[in-house]
Amino acid sequence: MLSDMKYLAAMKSETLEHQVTILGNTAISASRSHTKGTYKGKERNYQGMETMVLEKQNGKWKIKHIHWSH
Amino acid sequence: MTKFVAITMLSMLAFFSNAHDKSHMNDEKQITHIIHQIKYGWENGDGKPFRKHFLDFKGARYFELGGQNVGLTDLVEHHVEPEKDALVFLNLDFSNIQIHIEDEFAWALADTAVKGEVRKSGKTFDKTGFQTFLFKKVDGDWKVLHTHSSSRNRK
Repeated sequence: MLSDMKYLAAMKSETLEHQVTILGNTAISASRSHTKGTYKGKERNYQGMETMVLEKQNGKWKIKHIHWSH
Repeated sequence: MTKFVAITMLSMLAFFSNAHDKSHMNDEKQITHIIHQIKYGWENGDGKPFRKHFLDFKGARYFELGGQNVGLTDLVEHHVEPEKDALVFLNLDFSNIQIHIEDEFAWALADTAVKGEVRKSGKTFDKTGFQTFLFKKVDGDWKVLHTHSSSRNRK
């Protein structure tokens, strides 16, 4: 997680599409992003996808599952 | 009289608890079956399981690595079915399937292992990864809303 945070701090990321669907106390978030930058001397430029499942608990949305890929 | 009421209430509680457990098991069986049908569909380049078990709606998106198919027709006609000719073979395994059911919504996670050979280049691939499936119950049947798969070369 810490290395992911360091990596993302060096990148510029732009959300291209973001769709949220709410089903009662559950929400689904599906998004596509473009990430670009240089990290440890390597240039990176790619499209990424993220799926999240969230649940409303005591009035607040909490993440139950995340799936990232690029 | 009090004893009779207590026994009746306990019996009803046991009945409904059992019925709920059975219903939950049936949901899990149905979802597991759908996941196996998806495996079959991919391995055989057959769009029929996708048309049967996926909810066809505007805005449906299916993710794989850094790409997506937009809409069920796009997934079937531009991804699933073309792979039948593009690949010599495809073996796809889903294991460690974990299913979470929350009323009319469910999600499942699976470990994946995929092997295949590209017909044109002769290149083979052998990857492991994960898949997320999201489901919604529609008229008593579970339907896939979204899938997200990612994998990397086997280490």
